[in-house]
Amino acid sequence: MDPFLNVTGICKSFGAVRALHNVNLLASKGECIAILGENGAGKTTFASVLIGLYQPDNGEIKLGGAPVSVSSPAKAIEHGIGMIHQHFSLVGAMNAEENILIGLPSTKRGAEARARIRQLCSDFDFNVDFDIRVTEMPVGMKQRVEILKALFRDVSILILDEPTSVLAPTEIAPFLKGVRKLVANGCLVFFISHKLDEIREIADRVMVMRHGRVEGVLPVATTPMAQMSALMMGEKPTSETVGMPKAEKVRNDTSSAPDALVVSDVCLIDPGGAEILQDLTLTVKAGEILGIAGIDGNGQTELSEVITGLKRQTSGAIHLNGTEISSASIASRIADGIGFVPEDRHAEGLVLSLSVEENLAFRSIGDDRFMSGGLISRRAMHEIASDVVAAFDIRPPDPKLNASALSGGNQQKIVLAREVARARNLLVVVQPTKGLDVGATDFVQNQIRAVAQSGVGVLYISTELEHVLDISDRVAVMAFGRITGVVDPENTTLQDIGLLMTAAPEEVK
Amino acid sequence: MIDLVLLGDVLAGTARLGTPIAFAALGGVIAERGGLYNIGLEGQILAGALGAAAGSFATGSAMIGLGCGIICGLISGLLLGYMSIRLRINQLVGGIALNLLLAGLTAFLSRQIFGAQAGGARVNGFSQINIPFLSDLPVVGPSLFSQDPLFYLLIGLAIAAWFWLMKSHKGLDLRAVGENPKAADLAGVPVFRMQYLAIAVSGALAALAGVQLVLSQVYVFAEGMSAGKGFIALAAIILGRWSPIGAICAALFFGFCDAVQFKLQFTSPEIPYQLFLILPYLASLVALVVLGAKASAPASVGLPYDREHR
Repeated sequence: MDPFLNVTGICKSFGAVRALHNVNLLASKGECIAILGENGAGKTTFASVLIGLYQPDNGEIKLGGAPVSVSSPAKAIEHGIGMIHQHFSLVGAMNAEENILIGLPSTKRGAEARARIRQLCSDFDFNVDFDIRVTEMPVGMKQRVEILKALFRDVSILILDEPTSVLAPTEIAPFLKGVRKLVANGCLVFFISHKLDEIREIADRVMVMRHGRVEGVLPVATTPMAQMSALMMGEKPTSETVGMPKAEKVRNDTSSAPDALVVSDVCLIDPGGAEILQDLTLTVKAGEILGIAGIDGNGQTELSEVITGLKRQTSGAIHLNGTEISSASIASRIADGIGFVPEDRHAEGLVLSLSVEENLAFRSIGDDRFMSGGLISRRAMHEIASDVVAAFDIRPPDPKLNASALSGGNQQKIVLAREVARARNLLVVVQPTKGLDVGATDFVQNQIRAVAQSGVGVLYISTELEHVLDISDRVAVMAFGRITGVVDPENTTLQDIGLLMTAAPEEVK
Repeated sequence: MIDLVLLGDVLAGTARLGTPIAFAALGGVIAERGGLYNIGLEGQILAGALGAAAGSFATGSAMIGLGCGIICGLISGLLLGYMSIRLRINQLVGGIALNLLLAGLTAFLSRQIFGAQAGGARVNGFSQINIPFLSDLPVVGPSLFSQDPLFYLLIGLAIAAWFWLMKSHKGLDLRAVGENPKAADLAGVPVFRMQYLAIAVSGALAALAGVQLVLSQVYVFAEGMSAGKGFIALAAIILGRWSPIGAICAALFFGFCDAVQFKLQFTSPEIPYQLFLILPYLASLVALVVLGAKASAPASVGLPYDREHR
């Protein structure tokens, strides 16, 4: 019997970048196939070809034995193929029902349709508020709307692009339960991820991709995680295989070091009157990594913005190396040696339409090393950028490429490289490993450790608790705009931190 | 009683002067809801005006003039659509280019068709229709219920457009395209087809503004007779919050300002009339500054959609 889905010889290039190279796959109904790979391995590109967003340069897709041409997403829907994108594709200004009904033939949009949406909702135990617009929904609910949209279109193939990366820890288990139900109903589910434990939990087989090629399609149950990881990373040694520096990390003794950053009694009240930061006090010593743990939205982002000068605190003082910078401009803080890796690298960290070398140079463009005779020296810029690209292993190694052409991990390396060079006294990083794969995460962490080792104070803000505990010398926990406790990552339990993270406002005092 | 007569006059003037702006604004709303700026409204008004004048001149029938005007609008709309959707050029630049092209082309063609004599050739147009009973009402009767047919067409189209856009399935699809074309595409909406439809309809509606100028107001084509109405319509779109009904109301407000300034020119001859001419433009500027701040445009208007964009 023919397999349900038969993909042969798919190739796709974007200009000089080869995103997919001869991808083959056989899959049957009622199967969950994980697609594992580093950032930029071609996972999302492959999925985009399946749903008709990208047209392959070569290759064939067969469904139920018959070749199909998926020339547009509308065609993909006809063939029962749906995809849920990592950052969703919903219309923010409309409600759940409108979003689900967009694009359907009129015959499918009557009163029965509304009833069926609600039926699907209860079948899958989905909690969806039908009275609010998508912009007002929490992330998990948006994702459920996306899934309903696909279910309503009777998909037989559903592609999930890193579906858990946007979910809160508590939302993941119910989500995986829903996926399992889909698979049990005979749906073929592709689960794009780089979290091995999740793949182990949900997938039947795993398709490992690397540099646009399929490295192997393996049964999950009988394949050791180490083998998956080795396939994914190729010849590049991972931290697990080498054992350094993650396993034997050096903690700096900075107790006698001078204070790099002192934040004292900082309050921030937003125009609506809400207290975003309340009497916040913390100290980062030179050469120390102070981690800030906490659930997203407890003032961490604002804290980073107050320190770097993007927001002005309502009251309180900030000192850098003993000098007050409470009301200094952003430019002067940069001149004082503060580096900043912002949370949203697309919106704040990079100008995507500029080249890698321009992104590396800007904000430092007045430096002598980029100038010659009062004008920008393109050659100097290119040479410096080439060195950085080599040192940070930014791929593809072409400084003239637009930043938008690079994968997320490589984009983050650009930001990091630029800011590390700038951080003579303090480096503030927010969610530096968000959406990065294992290799890129290790790389970023090691770079940050190296910065601290050179005597720079690092403020490491992240909601990924494991990473914070792993890298920090001390961890401060933030909740409701306050520091609820400072702990030693070696001698603390997850429970303790969990309690500090969820401390109710009245208990905080 | 004098005041009532004056009020009636101003109301009638509001409807007559506001109608072309309203047609163009309605066209702009349809285009922008589909994610496309139609900066070419001004040129499309001229295209519609020339088409109407030529059609009526050649056949003596105002209805055929109306048809020719609409066809000219459709073609100019599709041309702009080709530039914006297929070639993905900057929509502001494309619209301005279309305005310049149509200003020159209509001037040239009008001389070819009507000869170079001053004042052009007079053509047959529409006459006013008196709605029984309602037109006998004091003040509002003569001003609102004995207008030419295009005024009633405008009211009908505005309501139909509102219903289609806000209540129908295809209207929902078009709004989705204007908000998030990728989401619409992934949901199976034929994004480009919807956009071509929107921009063609938009051009036809703007052309109706020109048709009204020729066949209901002056019965002759004049070079540059759009006189900035296409640009005021752009302000009316924002002021009307991208709603068909809102845009019509805003357009009629600008028509009202125009009617008032005409009256003022007569009643205050000692003041230079140029000052009064400023009034509608000043009103649009002030209205935008005061009321436009909170407006939220369709999220993806002006951004060309490229499916394979990374």
